[in-house]
Amino acid sequence: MDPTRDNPIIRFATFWWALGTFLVFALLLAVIWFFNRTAPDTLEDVVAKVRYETKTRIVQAQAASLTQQAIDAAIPTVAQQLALAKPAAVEKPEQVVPGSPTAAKLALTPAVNTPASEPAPAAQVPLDPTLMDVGKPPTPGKERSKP
Amino acid sequence: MYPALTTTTDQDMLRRAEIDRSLRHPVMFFLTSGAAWLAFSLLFGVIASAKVHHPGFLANHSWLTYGRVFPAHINALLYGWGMQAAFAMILWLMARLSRKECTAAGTILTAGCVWNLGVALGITGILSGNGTGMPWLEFPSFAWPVLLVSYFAIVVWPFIQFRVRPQGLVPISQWYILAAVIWFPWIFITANMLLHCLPGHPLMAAGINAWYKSALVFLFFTPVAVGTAYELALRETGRPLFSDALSKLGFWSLAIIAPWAGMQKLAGVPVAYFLPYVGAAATALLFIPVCAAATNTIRTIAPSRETFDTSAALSFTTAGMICLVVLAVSLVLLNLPDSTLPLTQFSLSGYAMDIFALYGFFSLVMFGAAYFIVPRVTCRDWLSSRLITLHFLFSVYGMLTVFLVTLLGGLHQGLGQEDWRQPWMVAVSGTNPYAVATTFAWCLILFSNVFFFLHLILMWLRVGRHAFLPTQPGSAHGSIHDDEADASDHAAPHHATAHSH
Amino acid sequence: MSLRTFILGLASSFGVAWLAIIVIPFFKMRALAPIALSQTVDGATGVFFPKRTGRVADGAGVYAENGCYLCHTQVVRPTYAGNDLYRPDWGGLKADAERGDTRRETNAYDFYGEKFAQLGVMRIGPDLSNLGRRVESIYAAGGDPAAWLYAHLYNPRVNPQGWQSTCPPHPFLFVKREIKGSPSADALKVKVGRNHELVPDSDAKALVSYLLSLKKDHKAPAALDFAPKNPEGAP
Repeated sequence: MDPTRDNPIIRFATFWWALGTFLVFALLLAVIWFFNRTAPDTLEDVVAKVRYETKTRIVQAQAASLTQQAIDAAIPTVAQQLALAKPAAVEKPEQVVPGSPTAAKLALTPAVNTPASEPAPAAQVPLDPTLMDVGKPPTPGKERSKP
Repeated sequence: MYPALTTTTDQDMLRRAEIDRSLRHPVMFFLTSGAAWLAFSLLFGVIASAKVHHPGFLANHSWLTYGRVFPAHINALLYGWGMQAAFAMILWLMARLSRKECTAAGTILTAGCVWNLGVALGITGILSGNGTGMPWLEFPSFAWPVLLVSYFAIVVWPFIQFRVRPQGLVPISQWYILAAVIWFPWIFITANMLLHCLPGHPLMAAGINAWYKSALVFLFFTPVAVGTAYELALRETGRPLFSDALSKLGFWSLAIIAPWAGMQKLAGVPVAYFLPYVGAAATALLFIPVCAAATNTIRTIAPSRETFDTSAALSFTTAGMICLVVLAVSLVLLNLPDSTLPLTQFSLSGYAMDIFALYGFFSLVMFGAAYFIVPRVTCRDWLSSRLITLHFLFSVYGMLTVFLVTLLGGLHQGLGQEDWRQPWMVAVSGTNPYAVATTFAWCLILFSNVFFFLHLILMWLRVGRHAFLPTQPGSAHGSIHDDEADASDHAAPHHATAHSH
Repeated sequence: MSLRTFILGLASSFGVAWLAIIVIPFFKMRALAPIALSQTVDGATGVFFPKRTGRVADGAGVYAENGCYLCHTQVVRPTYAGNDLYRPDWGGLKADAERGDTRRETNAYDFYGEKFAQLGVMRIGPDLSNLGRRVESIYAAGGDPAAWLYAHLYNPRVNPQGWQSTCPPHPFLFVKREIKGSPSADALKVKVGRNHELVPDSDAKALVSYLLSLKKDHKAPAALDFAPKNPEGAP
C-alpha cells in the first residue's frame, strides 16, 4: 500500500470534500432561493389590490369634499351657537317619570272617555299575498320575480 | 501445518479477516436493527392490507387507523429496513473493495443509534397523528435533519476509504456504491427543503414528492443492490465479470436516465405539460440500465451451475435481479401514457411496483448479501440450510402473488375505475379480491422472514456453527461448512486474481 | 476514471434533470400569474379566483394526518388522461339546478390555501375534488351536509347506501360527553349510554369544514377551458 495515498491529512481533507459533495445541490438550491426569495403575490393579494385602490379613491373623494380645515373652521362657530341656546322646558306626557309627584298629580285628574272619541276599527281585510311577496327578501339562487 | 504466510493469497486473506473484524459491530448492528424494522414493517403491512378489505379490523384505536398504519409500514420499510441494510452493504463493500479497515466503528454505531431513534420518533409521530401527509415523507418535519446528520456520520467514512484506496482499477460495484452514497443526500435534501422549508405551489410540491419516490428507488436502492449483486456474483462464483463495457453502460445510463423519472404519476395534473411525459419516457428507458445490469450479473453467475445450487447468496441475488427485470418491463408496459397509464395511475399497480422494487429486488439482494457477509464478520456459519430455503421460497411465492394478482389486478381495477357508466361502488367491490391477494402476499413474506429473523438473531448471539471461513488462513480445506456454503472457499485461488483488476 | 471526473459526471447528469424538472418548474410555478378575466370572453372582470370558504388549512392538516390521501384522489383529469370528467358528479355536477353542467378539469388555482396538493395515491374511494358539492346537492340534499359527513366519518357503513364502502371508521374523532341541558346540534344519532352524546372534536370539525369546501366547479376562464363554447371570444 502506498503510504502517500493514505495519511491523516488526506483523510481530513477528504472528509470535508465528502461533506461538500453531499451538500453541493443543497447549496445550489440555497443560492437560487436567495435570488428568488421575494414572496410572490398570492391571488388574495391581487384581488386585494383592487379593493385598496377603491378604498383610496373613496378616501380621496371624501377628503376633497369635506376637508379637515373646513371642519376645524366650523367647530368654533357651532360651539358658540350651542352655548348660546338655552334649554327650554317642554311639557309632554311621555316625559313624566313614573312615581314622581307630577305623575301622582296627573293620576288624580279625572279620566277621559276615550272610546267615544275614537272611530270604530275597519273590517278585517285579508292581506294580499302578492303584496307581501314584494316586501320579502329574495330566496337565494332564485331570481326575484318582478311584482 | 499452515503454509507460510508469505504468499499474496494468504496476505489477502489475512487482510480480509482484519477488515471483516473491524466491520463486525457496525454491519451486524445495521443488519439486525434493519431486520427488526423489517419485522415491524411487515406486520404493519399485513394489518394495513387487511384493513383495505375488512375496514372494521382493529378499527377502534386512532393509532391503528389505516391512514396511519400504512404510512408507518412504508416508512419503516424504507428508512428502518431499506436504508439500514444499505448502510451495512455500503460499509462492508467499500471497506473490502478499498482494502481498508473501518476505523470509525464507534462513530458509525452512535450515528446508527441516532438513525434508529430518528426513525422511531418519526414512526411514533405518524401513528400519533402528526404525519405530514406526503407519501414516503410522512415523518414529522423534525425527523429529516436528524436522519440526514446521522447519514453523513455513517457514510462519510466509506467515501474516505474510497479516496485512500490503493491504486488500481475500480470495480463496478464500487462506483455504484459511491454513486448511491452521493445521490441520496442530493435527492433527500432537495425534496425535504422544497417540501418543508421553501414554500411553493402545492401542485409542484406533489410533483417533487412523486420524483423523490422514484429517485429514492432508482438512485439509491437500485445502485446499492446492483453493486452488491455484482460483488456477490463475482465472489461467489470466482469468475470474472461477463462484460466490462456492459457494466459501464449500465451505470452511466442509470445516472443519466433515472433523475428524470417519477413525474408520470402527475399525468393529467395541471403542472407544466412536459413533466409527466418526461417522467414516463425516463421510466420506460430505465429498461436499458436494468437489463444491462441484470444480463451482466446473470451471465456472470450462469456458467457456475453447481455453485448456484449450493449458494444462498446467489439464489437470492438471481431472484432479485429477475424481479428487477420484471419491474422494468412492468414499468414500461404499465406507464404508457395513452393506454395503460390512465388505468394504473391510481390503482394497486403503483403499490405493487413499489413492493417489487423494495422487496422483490432490493430486499432479496440484501438477504443474499446478508447470508454471505454475516458468516464472514461473525466467524460463524448459518445453522440450517432449511431455514434459508424456506425464507427464499416463501419470499418468491410472495413476489409471484404480487406480480400475478396485484400488478395485473391493478390493470383490471383501473378498467373498473375508468368505466364511468357504472357507479363508483362497482369499482370498489371489484378492488376487493386484489386487496385480499395483497394481504395474502404480505402474509407469505412475513412468514418467510420469520425464519430470517430467527436465523439472524442466532447469528447475532453467536450461536452459529463455528467454522473456518475463507477469510481466515488455513481454511482452504477441511472446513465444516454446511451444504449451502459459498464457493469462494473453493474459488479462493481464483478469487484474488479475479479481484486484482 | 478519477474520483473528480466521476463526481463531475454524476453532478452534471443529475444537475441537468434537477434544474429542468425540479428547480426551474418549482420557482416558476411559485410565481404563477393569476389569469385576468375579460368581460367579452368570460363574462366577468378581475382575476380568476376560485375562493374557498371553510377551515382549509386546519382541515387539510387533519386530512393529511389521517391518511385520507391514500385512498382518495383530488384530481379530475382532462379526458386525454382519463375518464374522470365523464362521471356525473366528480368534476362538478352534470345537472346542477341553476348552472347546468358545471363539470370541469382541475386547474392550478384549485388548491389555493393548501401547502401540498393532496392528489392522492390510489383510488379506492371516489375522487373528492367536488365532495362538498356532492354532499350538499346529492347525499344530504334537504338535510345538513355537515351531519351527513360526521356520520360518514364515524362509521361509513352506518349509511345503508355505503354498506360496501371500505373507508375506515374514525370513532377517535368524536368525543363522548354528558348531555347538559339539551343535546348538542352536532351530536351524532348514535346511542351511547343513558345521558351521553357523541360530538365531533375540533379535528373532526376542521376536517368536515375542509371537506365541505371542496367545490372545484367554479366557471373556468376561457384560458383554462379545454373545450370553450365560444373559441376565440366569438359571441
